[in-house]
Amino acid sequence: MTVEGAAAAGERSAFEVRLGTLLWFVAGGLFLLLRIAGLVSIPLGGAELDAVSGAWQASIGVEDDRFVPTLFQAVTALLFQVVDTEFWPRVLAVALSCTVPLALYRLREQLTEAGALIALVLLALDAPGILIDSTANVSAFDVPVALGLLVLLTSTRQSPAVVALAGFLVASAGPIPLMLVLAAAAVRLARQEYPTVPTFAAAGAGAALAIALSSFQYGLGWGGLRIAPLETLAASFDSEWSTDPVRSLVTIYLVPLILVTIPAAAWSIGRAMERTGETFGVVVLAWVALAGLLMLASFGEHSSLPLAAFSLPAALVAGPALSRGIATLLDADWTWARYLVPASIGALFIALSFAMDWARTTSTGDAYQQVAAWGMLLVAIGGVALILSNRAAAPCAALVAVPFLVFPHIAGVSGVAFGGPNEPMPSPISPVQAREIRDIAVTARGEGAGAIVVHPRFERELAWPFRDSGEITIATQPTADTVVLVWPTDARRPEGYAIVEGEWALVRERNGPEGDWLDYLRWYFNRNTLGVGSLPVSVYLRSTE
Amino acid sequence: MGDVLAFWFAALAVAAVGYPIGAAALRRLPDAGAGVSFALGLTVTSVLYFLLRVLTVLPPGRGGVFAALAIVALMSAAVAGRDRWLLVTWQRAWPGAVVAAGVFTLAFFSYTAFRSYNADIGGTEQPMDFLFLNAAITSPEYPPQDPWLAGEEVSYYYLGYIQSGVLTSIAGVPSSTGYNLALAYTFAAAAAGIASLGFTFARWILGSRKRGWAMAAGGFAVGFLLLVGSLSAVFEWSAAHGNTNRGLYETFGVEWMLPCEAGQSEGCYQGPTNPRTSEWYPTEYWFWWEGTRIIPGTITEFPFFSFLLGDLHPHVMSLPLTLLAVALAAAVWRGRSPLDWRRLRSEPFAGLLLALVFGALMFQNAWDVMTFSTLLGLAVLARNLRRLRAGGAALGAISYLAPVGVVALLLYSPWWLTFSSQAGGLYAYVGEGTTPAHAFLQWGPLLLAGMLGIGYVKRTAPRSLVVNAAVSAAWAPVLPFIGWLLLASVRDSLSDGLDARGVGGWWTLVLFGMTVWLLATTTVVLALRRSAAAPAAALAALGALLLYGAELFFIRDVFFNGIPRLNTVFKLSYQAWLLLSLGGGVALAAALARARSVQRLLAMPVLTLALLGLAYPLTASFNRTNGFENPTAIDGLASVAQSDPNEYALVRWIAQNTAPDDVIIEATGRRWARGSDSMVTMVDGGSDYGSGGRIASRTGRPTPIGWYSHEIQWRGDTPEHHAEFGQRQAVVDRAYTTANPADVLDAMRQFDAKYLVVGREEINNYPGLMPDYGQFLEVAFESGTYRVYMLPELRSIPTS
Repeated sequence: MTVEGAAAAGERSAFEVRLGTLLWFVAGGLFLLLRIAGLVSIPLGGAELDAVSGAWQASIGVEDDRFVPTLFQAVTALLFQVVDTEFWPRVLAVALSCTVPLALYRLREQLTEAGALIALVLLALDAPGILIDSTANVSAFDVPVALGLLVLLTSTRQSPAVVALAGFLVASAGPIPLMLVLAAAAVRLARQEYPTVPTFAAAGAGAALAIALSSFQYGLGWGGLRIAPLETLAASFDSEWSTDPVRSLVTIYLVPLILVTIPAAAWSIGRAMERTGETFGVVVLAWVALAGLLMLASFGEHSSLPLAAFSLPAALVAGPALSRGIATLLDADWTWARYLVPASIGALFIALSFAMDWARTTSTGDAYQQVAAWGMLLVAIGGVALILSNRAAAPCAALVAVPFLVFPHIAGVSGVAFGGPNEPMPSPISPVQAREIRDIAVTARGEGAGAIVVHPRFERELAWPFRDSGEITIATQPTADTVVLVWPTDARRPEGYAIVEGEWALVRERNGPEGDWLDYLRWYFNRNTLGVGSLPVSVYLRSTE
Repeated sequence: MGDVLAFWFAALAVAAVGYPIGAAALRRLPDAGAGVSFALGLTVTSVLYFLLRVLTVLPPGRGGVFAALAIVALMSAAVAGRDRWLLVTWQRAWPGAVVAAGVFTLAFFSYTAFRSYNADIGGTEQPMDFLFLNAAITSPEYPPQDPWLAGEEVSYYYLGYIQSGVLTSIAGVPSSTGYNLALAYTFAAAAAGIASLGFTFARWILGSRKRGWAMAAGGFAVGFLLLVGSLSAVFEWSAAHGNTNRGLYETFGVEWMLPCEAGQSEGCYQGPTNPRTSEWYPTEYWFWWEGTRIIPGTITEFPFFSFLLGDLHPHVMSLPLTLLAVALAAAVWRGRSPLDWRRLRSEPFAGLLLALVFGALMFQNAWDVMTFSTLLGLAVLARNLRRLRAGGAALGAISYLAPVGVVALLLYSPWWLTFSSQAGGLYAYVGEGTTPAHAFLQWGPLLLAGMLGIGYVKRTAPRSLVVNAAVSAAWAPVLPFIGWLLLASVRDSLSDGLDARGVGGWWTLVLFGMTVWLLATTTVVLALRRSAAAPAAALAALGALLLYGAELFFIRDVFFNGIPRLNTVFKLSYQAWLLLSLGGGVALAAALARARSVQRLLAMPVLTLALLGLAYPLTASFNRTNGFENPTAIDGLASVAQSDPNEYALVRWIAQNTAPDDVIIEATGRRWARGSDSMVTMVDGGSDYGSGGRIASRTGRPTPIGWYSHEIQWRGDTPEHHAEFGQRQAVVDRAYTTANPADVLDAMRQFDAKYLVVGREEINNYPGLMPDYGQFLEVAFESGTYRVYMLPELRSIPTS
């Protein structure tokens, strides 16, 4: 498709812009805009808090199980030799995520141009993806590496050096590229498409180098055999990388993508069965299945990583299917659908407005309201049924759901990307207060006189906010030279110390809606209802009298 | 319900991942091994997880388990890619796979529903099983640490616990729920496995026209294995309603069920007699326990009892794996070309699979490895004999199996190098033998059903062949007896043995010997005639041989001085139960399938007897669940949460807030009290089967000492062990009974312990004796009067 303004006049212009190119720039721009917004806006929390804590500890030579270490975290630790904020590691993460639009551009042949473009839009508007691409978490390189690997898998010429680099990057990244490797390996093994010995050796050598570097913890010392993707996968199960469990995060941020991916996957399976020789589609399908299983298995865990791991291959499956779907929509019979679709949307909206009111008042209204709401719902269902009754118009029925999926989705995406204070992702976060406590403590200690004593219960949480604060004492009792105490609020007030007034917290948690569908609805329409918790501490200074 | 569904789905997923591997090796089975794919998928995943954890390639936790499962999926994909028959196999076998999944699902949910009426993990050895399960899940290093002996690795056969831990991790359920669902999985996987094998053997015998009877064979086999119980329940049931005939009860050796007579205080029923039961079933507390203790000095457990009781023991968890071993042996036997080292070289995958599965038997329940490896050896030999002379067949079998054995040993070396076997050699049993009545009550239905297999030999079989087979098969009972005579002579106990066995014991020996001989003869005749019925007959023969062997020999262990043959009879009769269930189920169906035949006539009383055997599960399940009126739960700690919420909160806090390798001081199980002379004295020295080490059991966190006598059983009855374990008990008890804080701190430092628990058991076992820990330890957790104390800390950390 091209826009040829002058062509209409029968002559070629010196300046032509392909519409496709323009759309690529728009989608790519949207992708980067939201990543840059995330870079500057997303509060430090969740997996990123653990990652920078671990990286900081590594940078000062302290062993910490939060240093996984992936290549990105190792680079972050290196950066912390010269900077002490998460900003520059985030810049690095976003810089690498710039390759995502390029990779998708390279995959146009496999995904179709429109499919690749839609996939890029879906990835751009993916809240878990924004979080993983824009923050200094251990998996910050995962999405670019995985897509780069996919491009490599599609190329006909694979030089040993590039394959070795890919092996290195996969073995030093988080679990997302590893899942692609597993999916690709499973498909190719089942099809008896074995790699050549040089390819295998090059990939193995790259992976071995990455494992060696991880095992030596990038210079920190031997930490036993460490395989970064596996350790990151294990950490995503065992760590508290989000306050809400995966099932809640999926409900809030991923339902539209899942609803699109399921029929898209079914369509893709049908297409793959028709084209038996094609490997790319089958690999992507295996990848999305694997990621879906991981997400399902992680439903009770506290991490946003499985969401991002799913949304990447899901977008690759959904993109081509949606492009096909849009084409089908354009060709559909709109004779009656042009009236029925807006009517159904309107009826649904009225039903929803009743529900919104119920959600606000936390009760399901009187009988009149219920009858009215159910009536409107039935009208909407009737409209959809009428559309479906005409086979040629049936695709139009899908449009009825679009506004109800897109608007909450966009709200979630913008909330995450622009650091909305009422998003349950990321959480827990390190509040500004935590650093203030550190400043109070360091100021009170002055020039090395006396000790800052922190209760062992808070040792892990202080790693990041108390960075660069000299020596800290971890103790269950104040020592003789204690000048500042960071103490549990439920502990007895130590004698000889004055409390620093205020509600202090080292960590703040943001809980998403939980319970029935009305809770979710209330939150969708009024995000101010987010529950907030914290890890409270008392701060004491030695009394001067 | 979410937890149950997650576990069920996890089990199906693991089976699906393992199925292509099984389909390549078990192609000759009608369902291509779908019924045993639960065991196969789980075993391969668990063994891989174990080995890669030992090599520190995989991290602990769910991530490591998923990684292992992913690797197995890759292996499956590789096998599927190379299996050119896969598509054809699948097109033929998919109905079998659907049936296997259906049988598994039905059995899984049925058992889960049953277990929910009795979900508590407590009593008997369940705390021990829970301990090993938690160790398998939480241990930061592999081989897993022994939570009841801080600083040491587990010395037991624990593959089953790793398997249960793998499923628990994949499902993402708490271990206290995983325990109960692992039982349900074992029940269901055993049901699917034996149904598949029963159908397979019957199909081979009956052909495709009698598919219905082949399916019935699967059903009978399931019934025999998992439902039929001791016939003693019929007597219990009758006695509970006051219907007792002294002569009959004495004839069957169950006179202890009769009410005590005047002056009688032992060997009789001492409970209330009027009425003895308030329901239609016997309500006497755990009446069904006696059904496994009828033969003096032995335990004759059977699967229904195991699942009724709910101990997650290795011999129970090994049921699916042993069925997988039988399936592999059957597939080997069914193959055509001879097996030798050349074949192994051309098909190394098949050999590796055999090494993995048969080696796993040793790791899962060491007693199984000899029996089922023998079965495999016989299968290879029988296959080779079809094409080769005896010498060549034997040499070929050895050259095929020896490398397999070596690989198995290498594969499981991380386990057996850390395992301290307590087997002290083979001994001739020279005590009182089993009476025929007791043998009948325990194994009558199974043995008789197995003997129906004699009918496989057709009347048209050449007489000379039958005579030759009978002569050669006679060695099966005679050789062990000669061995017994020699062994007893060598140990200088022959005359004791001849006298002590008793008339009943000799009769049983003769009856068992005859059964072995008849079934062995049948097997040989069928094998020589290349009949498809040979494996089913062989299974029954081997089952009978195990019962016969357990009357003659025993393996010396820690029970040597009191009840020497307890474990031998227990473990071998359990294996016999499985083999006879399979052989008997197939034989029963095959006999019933023959219209208007003597076999069918003979099958009727056997079927009646089998139905009588269902009295046990019927009455016992009502007794166990209080008529299905107990409150339901699937979390094994739900009763603790209800009866003592503070104790439950304490356990959960430790599980969630301490590191897996944090050592925790808790009650040893021994009780202490201050006497009238103000001295602190021990009033109860028993630590096993009680509260000792309960926190370690429920969380997997190591404690200095748990169940003392069990540690002795696992590690050896040596003075050094007694001294070391006794010293550990003394130090821990001292920490709870001293007035001196230094003793407490010394105890904690000695074991590198970070926490000390004061919960229900500590308050009960050290009443009024504990110091005020709050004076010198930190309170890390508090709920009601229960506390977890922590060692004070003082250290500096850099931040720049």
